[in-house]
Amino acid sequence: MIDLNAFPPALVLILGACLTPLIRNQSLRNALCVLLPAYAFFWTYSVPLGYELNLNYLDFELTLLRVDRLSKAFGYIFSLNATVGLIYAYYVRQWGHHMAALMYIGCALGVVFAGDLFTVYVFWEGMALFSTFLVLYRNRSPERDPRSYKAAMRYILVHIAGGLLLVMGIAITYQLSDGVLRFDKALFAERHLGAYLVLAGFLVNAAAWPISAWLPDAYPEATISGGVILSAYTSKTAVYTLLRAFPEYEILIPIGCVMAMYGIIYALLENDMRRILAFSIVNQVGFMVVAAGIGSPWAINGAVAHAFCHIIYKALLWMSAGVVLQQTGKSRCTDLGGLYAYMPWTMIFGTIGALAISAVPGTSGFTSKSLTIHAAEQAHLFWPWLILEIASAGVFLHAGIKFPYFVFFAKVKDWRQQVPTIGEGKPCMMIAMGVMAFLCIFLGIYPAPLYAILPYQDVFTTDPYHVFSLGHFVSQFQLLMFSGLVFFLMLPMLKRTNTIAIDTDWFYRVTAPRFYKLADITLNGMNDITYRKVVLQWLPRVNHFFSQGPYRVWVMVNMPFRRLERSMGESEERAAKKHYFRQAMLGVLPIGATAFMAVIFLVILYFA
Amino acid sequence: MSQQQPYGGFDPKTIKRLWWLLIAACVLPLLGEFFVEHGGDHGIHGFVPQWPVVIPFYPVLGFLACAASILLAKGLGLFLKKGEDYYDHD
Repeated sequence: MIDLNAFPPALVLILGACLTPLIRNQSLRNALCVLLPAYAFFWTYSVPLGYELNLNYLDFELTLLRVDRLSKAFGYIFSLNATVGLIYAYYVRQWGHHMAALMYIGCALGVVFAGDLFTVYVFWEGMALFSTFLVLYRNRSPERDPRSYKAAMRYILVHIAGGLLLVMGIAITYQLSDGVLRFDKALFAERHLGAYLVLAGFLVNAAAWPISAWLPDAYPEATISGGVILSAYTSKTAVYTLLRAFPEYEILIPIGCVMAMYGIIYALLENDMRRILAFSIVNQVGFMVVAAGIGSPWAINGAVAHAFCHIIYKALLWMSAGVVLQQTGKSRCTDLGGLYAYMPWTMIFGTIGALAISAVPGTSGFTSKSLTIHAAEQAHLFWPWLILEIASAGVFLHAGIKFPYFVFFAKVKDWRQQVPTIGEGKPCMMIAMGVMAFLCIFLGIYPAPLYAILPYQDVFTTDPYHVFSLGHFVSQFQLLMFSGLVFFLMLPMLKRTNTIAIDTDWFYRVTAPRFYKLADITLNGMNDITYRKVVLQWLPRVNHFFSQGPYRVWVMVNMPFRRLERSMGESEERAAKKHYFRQAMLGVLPIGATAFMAVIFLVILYFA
Repeated sequence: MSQQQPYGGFDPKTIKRLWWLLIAACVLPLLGEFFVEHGGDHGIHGFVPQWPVVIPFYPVLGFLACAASILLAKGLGLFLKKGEDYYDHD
């Protein structure tokens, strides 16, 4: 009997990805791409808690697999989302796109099940590398966009910088922990520099402000299905690492609060629908980062449940935006609107995603996000609690209403004039959206299966929280409905414009090129001046001086004696000078003169 | 092509109906307030016990938070909003 446990999802997905170039039949290849993450889901289900797979490599004791409730919960959602995401992407022709996607997902699963920091790092860098291809492929796909190349370059550079922070932190931690790199909160119980560097490395991937601009910069430039896949893994893997290694790091609470508010303000300013969704990822991850900072059992449970549901509804939103982009070729709210009549199912699915992200009762956002807010309430953290409540209202504003309103409604528009073939997405896309929409509602009505996989089970009995209480329903509806009222009252202020909002990436997109230009002008200017003055003018003169100087000295020493001998005319004097100069240059000196010089030399030596 | 149609080209009657629907959706949860037991450590009362029961907290929060967010975004937009070709030189 083959022990399936020894075939971890990361290995299976990465090896499976290597098979994709060999399968020439597109349907077969894409079917394999769906089956591989489905296997990962099955593996996560069947592997027993406490299972570990260790490997000795050089001097390291690597824990390639460590299965506990936290890693299992993330394993479930990562593999589930990958399966449905790759059903959505079934239409994609390029094998390289799916190969990169599988490698990326495999690496994310590798991080989640890794038991030591070294293994985490290897998979972490793999994620950064392979995810870049999902942006780069936009440049090669039918919806070709050359801007994606630059966005991909910025994306990988930010992640390389994050990876460097991580590796510095790991090196320091390795020194301080006597070579033990077991990846859990005990490793960072002592808050040394290494711990903070590792934390900073993780926060780069979590899109924590101010290193957050890479996400709304790169994800909207990704391919249609690439955006769906990207939306789930990088930031949520970072959330996992924070929950695993940095719970109760209080600094995470203000960081998460800033993220939650930043996402809302920028999403309100944004015109591009996929960028609105990207900003709302930052907003939602902010909730999870706050939960990691609180670190209580309910907070960890809340963050895991929220991450689980967020991945589903966010993927659904990206899927519906993807169908809109594919059908219309447009992504800006100013160009969209009125699509409800042409793609009603996409509108319904997108709206379900929008309601779920807004935590409308009856959707998965309500049964998951509430746990984090409850944890803040329980920990008696007034300001974080208030900001999370404000952010909940804001989510409804920008993602719950703004996205579906400007994309599907807002105006009556005759799309058939522009796109005669306009309609719903491809069948694979619609199936995938249907599954995700079902999950959004199912988990909103019956969250028990989700709650059953959360890390801390005992709090459900020792300190129960009733998500479906009348008070909670009423307060949530009050919050959301009055937010909706504000949206429509202030609609003229929300009118979209063809603009972008500058973000912290301004520093490396504008300041860095300016710095480069300044450096170019100053340093290369100095270089140029040095070349002209020193190399072309000064050095030949010095060379001339040192090469001819001794000969002239010889002329100067001898001429007075020559003049003493007899008076000379001008031409005679010139001839004499020439004679001495040639004499010195050829080294043909008279014996008397040589002897005289030797005596002088000996005298100097004597007195020296 | 008329870019700026009133009501986005929708039937004004429909828009009016939708407004009434929205107002009803705001009023209903306010009525729900009468059926909810107040006090305890849930919501604002957990932090500010003296918060008056007659003023429901969540509608006030939702309204003010969203209005403030929009105004803040609008204000920041004055400085942050740039043309779409702003970065095209890079």
